[in-house]
Amino acid sequence: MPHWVVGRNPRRTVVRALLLALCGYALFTHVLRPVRVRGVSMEPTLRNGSFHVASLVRYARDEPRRGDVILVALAGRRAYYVKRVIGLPGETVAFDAGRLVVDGATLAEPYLASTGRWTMAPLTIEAGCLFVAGDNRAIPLEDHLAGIVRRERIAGGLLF
Amino acid sequence: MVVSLLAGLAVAAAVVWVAHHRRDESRLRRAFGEIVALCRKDGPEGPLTTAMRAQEVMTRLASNAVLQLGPPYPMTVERDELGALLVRGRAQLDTIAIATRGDEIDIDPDRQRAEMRVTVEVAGTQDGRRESGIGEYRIAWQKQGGTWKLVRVTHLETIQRPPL
Repeated sequence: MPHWVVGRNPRRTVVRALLLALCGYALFTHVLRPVRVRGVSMEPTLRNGSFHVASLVRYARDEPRRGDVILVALAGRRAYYVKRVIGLPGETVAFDAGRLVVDGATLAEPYLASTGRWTMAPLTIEAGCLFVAGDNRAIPLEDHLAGIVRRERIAGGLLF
Repeated sequence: MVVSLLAGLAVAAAVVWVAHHRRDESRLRRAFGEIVALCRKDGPEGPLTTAMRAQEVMTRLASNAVLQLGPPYPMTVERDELGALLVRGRAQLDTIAIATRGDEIDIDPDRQRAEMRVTVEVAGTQDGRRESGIGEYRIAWQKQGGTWKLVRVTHLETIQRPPL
């Protein structure tokens, strides 16, 4: 085999290649996950068909914060719901004609293109749970998958 | 010498157990895959084909099978009602595409019962209009006559919608 393929020390080259493959496998299995968005519930933030990268260790030590775009795990860990955190444990969340109301105070949502017309009665989020929703508020609330998710279902967060 | 022999036997037993376990896992996946394939619809079909497909699905269910498919279907569908529901559903839709997007399987130690959590993506077309959704289901299986039969399907609410 040519010198420029295996280097001056073929054994070292093979070991390095194996280590690189192992690191790549570990990285893309347990740390990073490429994500292809299907659906319009997160538009315009995430376009249908767009590619992104998520971190599976994003919340290994930290807790999700309001505004974070997170992955909600489904069985098998090959498919996820991608949603935004709207409410935190212990808070009371409501929607009033499209405006987000948390613990009685209206909060701005700068990531929305349009607030829509969602109306939802106050809902208290239990400990260990979060309230999540997509950014596409043009979809009526009854047709939009938004609501309470348990903390242990959060598989990671979107990096870019 | 004796310790080595016992260790070797323990390893061999573990290998055999894993092999059996994996075989049951693959049989379960195959059983589920067959049901999914029978539920798919690629295009127009006659009423006889619709009925035969529905009947084929029914043969893969246990006699006491119960299904909770989640909205928009009724709360609980018993085996006897499922046949009619399948026929009606297939007749209404022009195409039905179903794909499994991941699963997790737990098999009881006696290898007679198992539980599967599976993510399923379903897309259907009707009069040119396409709708799709993805959801998670818990499926209970029981081995009957050496064949895995579906006993119960429960739709799992991953994101619990607020009351509206």
